[in-house]
Amino acid sequence: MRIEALSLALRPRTPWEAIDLGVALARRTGAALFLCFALPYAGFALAVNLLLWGQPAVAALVVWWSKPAFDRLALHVLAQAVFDPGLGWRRAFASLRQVPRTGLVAALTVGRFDFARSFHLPVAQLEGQRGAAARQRRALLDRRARGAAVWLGVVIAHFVVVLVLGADGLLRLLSPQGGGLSLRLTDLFDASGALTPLYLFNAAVILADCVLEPLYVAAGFTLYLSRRTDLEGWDLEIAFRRMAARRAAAALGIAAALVLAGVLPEPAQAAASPAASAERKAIDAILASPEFREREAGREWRRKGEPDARDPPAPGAPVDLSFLQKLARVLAELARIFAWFAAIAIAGWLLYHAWRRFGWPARTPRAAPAAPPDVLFGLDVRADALPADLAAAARARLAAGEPRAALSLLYRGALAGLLRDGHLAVRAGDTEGDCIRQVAASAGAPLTTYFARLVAAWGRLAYAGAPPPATEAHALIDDWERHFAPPPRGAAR
Amino acid sequence: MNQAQFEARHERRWREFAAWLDGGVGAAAIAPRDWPQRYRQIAHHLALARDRAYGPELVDRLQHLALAGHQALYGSRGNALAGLVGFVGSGFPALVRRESVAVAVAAALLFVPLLGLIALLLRWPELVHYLIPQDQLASYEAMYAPGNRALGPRHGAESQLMMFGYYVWNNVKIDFQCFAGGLLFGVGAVFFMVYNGVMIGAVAGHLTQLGLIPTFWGFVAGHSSWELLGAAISGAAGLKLGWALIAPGAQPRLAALRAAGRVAVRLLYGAAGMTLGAAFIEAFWSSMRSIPAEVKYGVGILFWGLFALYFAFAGRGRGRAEGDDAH
Amino acid sequence: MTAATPMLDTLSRVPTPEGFELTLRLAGPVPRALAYALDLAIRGLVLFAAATALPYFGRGGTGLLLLCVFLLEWFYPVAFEVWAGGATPGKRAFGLAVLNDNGTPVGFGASVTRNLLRAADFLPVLYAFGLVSMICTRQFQRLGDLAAGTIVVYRERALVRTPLPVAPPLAPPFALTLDERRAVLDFAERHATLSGERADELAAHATPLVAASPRPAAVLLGIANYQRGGTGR
Repeated sequence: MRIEALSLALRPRTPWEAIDLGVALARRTGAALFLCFALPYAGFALAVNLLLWGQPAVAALVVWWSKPAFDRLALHVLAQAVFDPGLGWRRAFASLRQVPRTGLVAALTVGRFDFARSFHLPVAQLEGQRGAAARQRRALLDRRARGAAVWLGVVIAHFVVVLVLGADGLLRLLSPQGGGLSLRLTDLFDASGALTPLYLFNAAVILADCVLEPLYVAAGFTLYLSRRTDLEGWDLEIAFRRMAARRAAAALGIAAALVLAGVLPEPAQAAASPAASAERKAIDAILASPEFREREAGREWRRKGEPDARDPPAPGAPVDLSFLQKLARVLAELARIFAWFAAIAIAGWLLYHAWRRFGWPARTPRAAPAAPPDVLFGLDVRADALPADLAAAARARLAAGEPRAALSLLYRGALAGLLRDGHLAVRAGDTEGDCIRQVAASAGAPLTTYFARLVAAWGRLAYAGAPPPATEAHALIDDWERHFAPPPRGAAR
Repeated sequence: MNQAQFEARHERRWREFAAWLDGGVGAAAIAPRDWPQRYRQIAHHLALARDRAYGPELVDRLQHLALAGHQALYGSRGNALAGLVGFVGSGFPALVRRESVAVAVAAALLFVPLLGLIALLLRWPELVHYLIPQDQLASYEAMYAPGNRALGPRHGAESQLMMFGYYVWNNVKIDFQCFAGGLLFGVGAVFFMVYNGVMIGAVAGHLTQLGLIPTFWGFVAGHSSWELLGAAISGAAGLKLGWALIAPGAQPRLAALRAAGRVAVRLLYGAAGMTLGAAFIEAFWSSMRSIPAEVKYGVGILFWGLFALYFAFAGRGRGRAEGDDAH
Repeated sequence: MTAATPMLDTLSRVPTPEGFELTLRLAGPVPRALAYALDLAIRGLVLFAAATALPYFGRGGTGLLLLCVFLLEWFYPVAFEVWAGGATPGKRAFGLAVLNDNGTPVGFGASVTRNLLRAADFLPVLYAFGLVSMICTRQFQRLGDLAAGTIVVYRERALVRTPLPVAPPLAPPFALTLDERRAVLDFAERHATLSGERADELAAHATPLVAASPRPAAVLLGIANYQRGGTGR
């Protein structure tokens, strides 16, 4: 076992502390543990109750008797989870097929009455010990932890009762007639043969088991780990290994530092061009706005009795009139809405009267259907406004050190071309992303990819002030030529 | 300085500090005004020992002394009696004024159904049968029948003490229910307030309409202000908890709950005190048959008036400073 | 060893203004339930005694009994927590104590809060809410603890100096850090509980100290004895 890979803090613990660690472990493992136990267990219990229909007490006994078999599933998951804190329930579930079956018969016969069941389970399942060897091993482990292990079982059994009656009580609290499950312990010994309360009882016990049995196994497991830590000095081993590593590192220290300094990559793309600083400021200003403010809950030192400026106003503050402000704000909002309605009503009234007096305005010739718009995203995309040889013009701008102008030309040209070929039907309010989707819907993949690339480059330049590297800019121009090489003028409809 | 010199130099002071912690014979060796200084010195030695990598046993020993010193010096035991006087005299009424919104809502939840049911039952007496079973009504009617020797739910000369215990148990429990019900997002608190308002209103309205006015109103007049106001304030405490869960504002729910809990529990102290007073009056004054009803009405009205003055004026000006250190 | 996931433990660390760190060992539902059961038994005994004695005082006695129930129910824990070092007799038996979550002793206000809120923890019956809350919160707090900002911890143990196995003192070949010295001393103190082979196997991990010695455990014991001798550098 690679104890240095354990994700549990190893230190000498009292048995009680070891049990508490089990609760924490079960909580951290979470769904992986509880689902892997609950699904098979509840399914089995359901099947048993259905097979033995009419004999709920027998079914309960069978389910209770078989519980150790399902403990193994929980332990199997836990044994992985102590090495792998990020164990997800899917992976845990897939691993259940490898659960070892060593000592299963013993666990379901003699071992069923072992009061320290979950504490001894790792001996059979993880160490694979059997017979006399297992007995000897258990005796060694028991020497200082048996008391706690037995009490653990007793307490968990009582917790089951608490949760069963608690579920009943919760239903009583919630239902208006105070019905609940109406669980009464006396029903269990009722000879009159009413089945419903018994089945309700079985169901409640199984549900409580689904929560508490994994907890029981986890606590037994950590108790076992803690006992082995004591017996074999695992914590000392870790400390000694760390010392050895420290000495080795100290010897290599200087050399390693030199090597690292050579290997470490340059700080990624720090402050680009000075031109970007204006955008940087704009970005900072936006990030500083209230929408981007982070709230963090934490603890820090503060003088006793000193009000924290970040606290809500102290209860003792003079009468809080902020609600008046809120009221005023609500009134103002209502007034604004009212003003809008009034404006619309007045406009409608004026139009109505204008129509009454002047009739419909003379019909203008209808615009050609879906005439391409002239301006998109604030850019003039009329074909006339663009230079005839756009690629050459862009190259010239790029050479002159004006990447923004060059990309702008490309982008406008691309939009104009897409509009012309009918790949785009832009409505007001569409975003660049919408455009890309539209292009993707009607144009081929190469064109779409290119357009997306161009949009991304333009977005970075326009909104973040980060010009593309020169090679990329040239590549964009070249590709533009391939995709949008202007057809003869006459072809433009 | 090596470890041996360090230990030799300070051993005596460590022993003195340990003796002071134990409170044994050597405890007097350190004057009270030196306690903090000696404790800081231990912390300083601990830091030194750690920094110079002295032996773990010395570090553990100093750590142990420092921890014990921390436990001995920190924490607010305070003077419980002075705190109590300050709380009753000024802190509590000031707190109620500060939390007037919660108290007003809780009072409305209690008093609106209460008064409304009295009015309803005076107009339509038969409505009471929808609310209270017949046998319970009969027992209430018997309790306040004019011929009874003592008033109230039970009678008998030496029963007063017993009834006191019963009232304490029962009434204070209701306060706690209202408070803890606040943890269910305030639903429990609202439910118990309205429920109690409805039940009390139904009984009062029914008995009034039957004309048992001197016995019933004479009985409840004295402790009504204590009990009802106490219930309203405990409900307000529960509502504060519930509201902190529903609308925690700009902090995590748990932090909001904790902040509200600190205020709410002090409202609850006051409410529990008032309810205790109510139980006392109920057992020893309200049940006395020999006092004419008019006197009891007078006392009842006097209490209501005094409470109005208490909550309006007591502790004005200095309530804040004294009310804030009670926890 | 992955630095990303912290080692799972049941400690709460609180820094103090004096520059040292309080390490509180949190107590979970199982020992707390046992301590509660013990307290319940003690209260039951007191109540039983009261119930046998008080009826001789007539109905007034019954009233006193109810008062007695009330006080035992609500103020038995408060009284012990505030005036007896944060622990009821049951808690004391299991080495537990109640503290504020900043490590200071619990005061009257916090104690009353956490004990009055037993009413919430008790819901619906038998402390079911409290149990679920203890299982689900990192510091094993029930609802009352959450509202009052308190935790239940294991008390500090008294320091005992275990005698070491005798071995000729041996100076370590290089300066050890505090943790390393602690590990060497712990090794010597726990030497008796380790099997002989395991002790040697363990000590062999301390390669820089034992440097291929045939009896690595003996070397470590020597270093521990050297430290205990108080002649550190």
